[in-house]
Amino acid sequence: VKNRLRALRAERSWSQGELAAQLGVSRQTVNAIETGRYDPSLPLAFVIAGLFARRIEDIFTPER
Amino acid sequence: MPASVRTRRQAAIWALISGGLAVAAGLILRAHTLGLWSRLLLAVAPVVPMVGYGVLTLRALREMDELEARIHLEGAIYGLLGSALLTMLAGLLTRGGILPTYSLGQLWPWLWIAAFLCWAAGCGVAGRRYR
Repeated sequence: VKNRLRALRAERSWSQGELAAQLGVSRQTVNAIETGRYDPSLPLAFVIAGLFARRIEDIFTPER
Repeated sequence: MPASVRTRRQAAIWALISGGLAVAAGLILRAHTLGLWSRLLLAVAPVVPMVGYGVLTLRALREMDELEARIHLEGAIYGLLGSALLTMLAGLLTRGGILPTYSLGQLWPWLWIAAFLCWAAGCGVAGRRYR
């Protein structure tokens, strides 16, 4: 699954640590999601979408 | 400090208590001078804090963030596989007369250490994948 997390975070000038704190996860988790090494669970994807006021499919798209 | 780190520290304390009791019990039991009930009590004593360690480790797993929990679960599978493979290999080598025969009483600390080392190594391998 590809995602726009890094771009959305950059728009708000947040560090990975700041985003991690707002999501209630570790900085390593944010980094792993941004680099595509880890796909978040559905509950975490909802939290991310809520934080950026976007729909999940606007942030996460399947790799074809 | 995240709750999972605090719980893991508490779990480590219980593991240390268990390890200390196991070493002490092993030394005392080796003497064979105590009665049956005293020996039974000594043998069971290190197991009790180990139960606390298990409960706290499971609680820490539930408190971890999802990636960290995944890394630890993968590490636990490595630990289980590693100790299973080592046990199987040691058992077959012993049966084949290549290794000397040891009793379970002599072997269990090494099996315990091997399982935890495999778990730690597994956490390291899984952690690198998501770095």
